[in-house]
Amino acid sequence: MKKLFRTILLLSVISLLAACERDYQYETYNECITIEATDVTRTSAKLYLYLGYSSSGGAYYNSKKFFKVSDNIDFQNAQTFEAERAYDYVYDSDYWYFSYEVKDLKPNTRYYYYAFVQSNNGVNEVRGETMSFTTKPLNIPTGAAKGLFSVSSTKQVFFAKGNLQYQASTGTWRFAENQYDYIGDGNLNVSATYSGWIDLFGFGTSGYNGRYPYNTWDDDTEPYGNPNGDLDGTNYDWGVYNAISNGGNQKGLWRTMSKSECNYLFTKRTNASQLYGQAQIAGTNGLIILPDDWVTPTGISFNSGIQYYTTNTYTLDQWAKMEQAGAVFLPAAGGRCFRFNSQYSGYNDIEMRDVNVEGYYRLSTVNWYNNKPSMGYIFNFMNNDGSLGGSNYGSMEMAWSVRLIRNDQ
Amino acid sequence: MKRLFFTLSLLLCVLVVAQAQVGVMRTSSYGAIKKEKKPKKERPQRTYEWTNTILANYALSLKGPSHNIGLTYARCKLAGFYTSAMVGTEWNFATVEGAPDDYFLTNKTSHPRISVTAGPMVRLVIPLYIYAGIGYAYRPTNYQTIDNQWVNARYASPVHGGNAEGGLMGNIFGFTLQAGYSIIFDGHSLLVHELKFGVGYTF
Repeated sequence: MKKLFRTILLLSVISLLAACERDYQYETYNECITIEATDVTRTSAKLYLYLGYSSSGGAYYNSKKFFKVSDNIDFQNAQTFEAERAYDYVYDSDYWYFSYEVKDLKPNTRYYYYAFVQSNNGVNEVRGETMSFTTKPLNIPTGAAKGLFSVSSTKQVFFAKGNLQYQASTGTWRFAENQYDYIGDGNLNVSATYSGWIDLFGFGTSGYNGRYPYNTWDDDTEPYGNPNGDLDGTNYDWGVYNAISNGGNQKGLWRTMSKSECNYLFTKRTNASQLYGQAQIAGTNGLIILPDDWVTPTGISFNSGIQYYTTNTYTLDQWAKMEQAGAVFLPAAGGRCFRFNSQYSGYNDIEMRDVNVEGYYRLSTVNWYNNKPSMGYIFNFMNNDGSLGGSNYGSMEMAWSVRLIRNDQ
Repeated sequence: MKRLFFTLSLLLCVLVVAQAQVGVMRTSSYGAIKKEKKPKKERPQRTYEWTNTILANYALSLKGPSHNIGLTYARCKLAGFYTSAMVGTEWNFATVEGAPDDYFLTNKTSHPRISVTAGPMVRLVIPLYIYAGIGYAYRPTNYQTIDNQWVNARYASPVHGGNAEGGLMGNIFGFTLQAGYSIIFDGHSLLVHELKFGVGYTF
């Protein structure tokens, strides 16, 4: 009987324990793991985080995942970015990877970051380990100005450090020594044997296929440009066909900016309207274009917009600081045009116009008329115009400035 | 499965008490035989007198689970009444607003419970009584957050609600034992089932 009694007692205790039921177990974050950054470039990196064990999917919707990124380990002035589901990471069935592609970073800089996950009401926070990555250094090509400029959503370019120049007697191409340099009236001496330098060119006069840089208006038979259309990627482009002596001295390193790239540069890149403005450097009028990551040097002021050249007036020393920070300056070098002579009912000579008054810069795109390329696009600027005359087009025969660009590798 | 275990548990508890009562009865009969050898002074019958019983209680809330303690007082002749008060052993009240989904939790829970019940009781056989009663119970389920705050899970279990219970009391070896079943409800949340035990003295 006692044995039966004990057995019943034992069964009672076991049954009691088995009948117990735990309270509902909510999702718990006991880990937020910072994962090593991937796809590190000069200006961007992709950050990942992984949430540790969780018992249900509910909190996926009820929590926020972040990265804190800073260029100092104390995370002073750190930026916070909210992560999104990382569909591309590991495998699709794992829902707990999140990522964010951080952009606009400084080249050759070590960045510190950590992941953290925050409860829906922002009260609770679980932080991951602090990790770091170093952006790749900026390799400035020979002959290029320092800054990087976006000309499309996926492409950045360097500008040449000066306007393109040509010496006919030696067949030499080079960039101007200074960004504010221009030849001016010397362009009137243009000839196939001229030993001086010129820096104004007809459309597509790279020297390829009879399109010579010393072509002028005085012969109707002189060909200009690419008979098939734009200059892009063709030998009609000065930078493609020629080795620039102080720009790497190899063919194909440089190219001319297209119309769409020009529009993107001045209107579509981030803060585009704040990144250009007219200026005067030691008496030379022109247009300043600032790089994507522009930071105005200490002691220098810059006013964006197209108003007057004197809106921004710099000494050579001040300009040196601007240039060191990546600014590009396009001098208002004017143009070499025909001189209309009514006595002969036509043009019979060339002349310089708008030197240090207006800037005309060639683009690689042509305007089509009657199913053939008729004019070459340019962008121009002048004093007191109020706007940037980007993407106008003009006669192929007119000789205007060329500022080559080079793709960021 | 949980319901099966619970039902089995309840039945076994009843069997334990009933077994104890059978033991008492048999002991009494055996004592009667011995009385022929050594007659004792006959004790006065107390069957129809009022008896007062005080018991210390322990109750196991099956959901949680959580532990509770309390006191029961009963007064009975052939019939009578009882009243009982119980408190929990976890006393972490909600300290922050919102719902558990708003916070990161450790999943540690607390059930600061109080309850009061009362009802009639009837003597089945000497010395076994059956009782049943209703009352009020407060038993929230609070979850601990990772920064040691507590947040209430309003729909995880009843917070304010009714409490119904029933069970058996019996005298053995001069002590009174109690085994019962209790349920807390509020009409829209999950029920909380409890098993209640007590030990006390009848005078």
